[in-house]
Amino acid sequence: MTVLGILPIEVITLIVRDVSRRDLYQCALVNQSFHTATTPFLWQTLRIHDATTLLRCFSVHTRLAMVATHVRTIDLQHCHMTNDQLLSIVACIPQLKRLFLSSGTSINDSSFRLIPSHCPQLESLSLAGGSITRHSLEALGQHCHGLRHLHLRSCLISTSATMAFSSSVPAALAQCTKLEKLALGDFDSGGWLALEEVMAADVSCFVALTHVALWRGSANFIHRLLTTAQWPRLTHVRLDHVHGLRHHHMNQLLARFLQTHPHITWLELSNSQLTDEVLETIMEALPTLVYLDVSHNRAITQAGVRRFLLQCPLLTTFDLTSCDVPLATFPELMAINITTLCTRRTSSANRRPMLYLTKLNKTAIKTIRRDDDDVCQHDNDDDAKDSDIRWWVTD
Amino acid sequence: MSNVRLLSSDNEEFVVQKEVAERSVLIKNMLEDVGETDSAIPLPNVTAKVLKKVIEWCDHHSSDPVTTDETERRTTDIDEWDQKFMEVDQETLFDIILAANYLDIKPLLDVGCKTVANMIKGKTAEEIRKIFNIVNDFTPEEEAQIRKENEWAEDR
Repeated sequence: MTVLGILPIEVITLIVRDVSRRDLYQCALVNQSFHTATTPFLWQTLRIHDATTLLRCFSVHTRLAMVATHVRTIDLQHCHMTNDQLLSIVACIPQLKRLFLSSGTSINDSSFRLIPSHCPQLESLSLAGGSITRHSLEALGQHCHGLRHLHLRSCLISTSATMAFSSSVPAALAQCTKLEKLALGDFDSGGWLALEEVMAADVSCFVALTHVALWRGSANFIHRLLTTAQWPRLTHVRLDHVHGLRHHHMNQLLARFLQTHPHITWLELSNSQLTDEVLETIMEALPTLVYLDVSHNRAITQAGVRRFLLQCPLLTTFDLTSCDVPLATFPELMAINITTLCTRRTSSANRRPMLYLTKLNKTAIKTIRRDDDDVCQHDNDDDAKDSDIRWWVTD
Repeated sequence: MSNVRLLSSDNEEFVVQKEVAERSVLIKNMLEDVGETDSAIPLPNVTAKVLKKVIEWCDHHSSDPVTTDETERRTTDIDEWDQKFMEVDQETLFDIILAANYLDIKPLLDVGCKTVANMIKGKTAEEIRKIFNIVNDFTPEEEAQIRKENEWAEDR
């Protein structure tokens, strides 16, 4: 009689490859074959809440070197640990590809700068919180030439105070030429200054860059980046909450940047003091734009929005949340289901509640454009998905 | 439309349309190697009972597009017809899986494995052994060791 226990390991492998981690753990305890088939999947991703338990497992494991070769991802975003514990963990996993660290950890240079030499094959690195300096970034650039995703949030401190500020600081990440996604945000002014020191010179080296997200950036950093950037493959840009840039200066900077990056299809410019002038620039510079978020830019007018929609043929999402564009200025939208397209707020002009546009989807955009016959007919489900929308969040 | 003759391990012969039989990559390759043939293709690893089920599946799916994208195939849910088709006793289910593996019919193998995976969902190791009649071949020491090594993955 054929029973599950005697199926060949390759078949058991097919059975267990897509089950949850909890189920994997139980499968590992069933019998020898199940244990063999399960181990690679169980150890592929270490999503850890408790560093002490993991290190105890490492210390008692009889074949740690073998299982370590299965580990691709370590997610310590919800794990409190010391610098020593972090270092002990990564030191056991030399083939690590993805590492996610988060606040709550008290990570600083003493451990972080050693990670790249332990894990030279790192492709994706995310750190939120902690206090690292340029030394860590230099170590990263020195060892991890295969880095493809880098995500740093509120973790950098400047070392300028302790070292002579020199214009000949070597570029830290110049050898990371495979970098595809770069997300930087929420630093204090010292953090942005540190980034400027170590990264501004690298910007032109990132020839493979497709995604860039910068939020709450300092005016100096943004200015330097936007004037020197030349990323031929760039398609996704998030640039919002820039501090201290006057709006006409922002307009000028963006104009130059967008004209030199015509392949952008996804643009997020929330809270950037934009005017209709920028919409004109976007529509001339980016003929293949699909997604635009200009939420929280109160100077944008309904006339600018209408002109833009008529000129941007591929656009499927247009986020106008908190732009103060009244629904009443687009009466044609009354013909479709408007519940997801607008929100009721008190008008600042006359203190009466009014409906304002929020995020226009494809149906709304088509209605405004009056094109219901074109190619968009059959692609009904490609309104941007949540996972796409938050592409800069690593997981 | 030409037909192909298939011979089960217990010497029962099945006549099927070529395009149905060719859902099996093994048979497809054999036909390509041998060319036109009148003799039956022997399938020494598949009994008539199981072969009948497999042919039924291939016949129903004979006009499916061939999906080469593995992740797409893996993430698609089992459709209603396949769910009904897989409502068989455990022994038959595992025989179908083994036959799909031997005959190299990837979509059928996927459906079979997903069916078993769904039966595993939420069960403890002991329950899994019980459901599928699996002998625990660990020594108590080995089992304790595996628990210790994988403690980090325990449900919390």
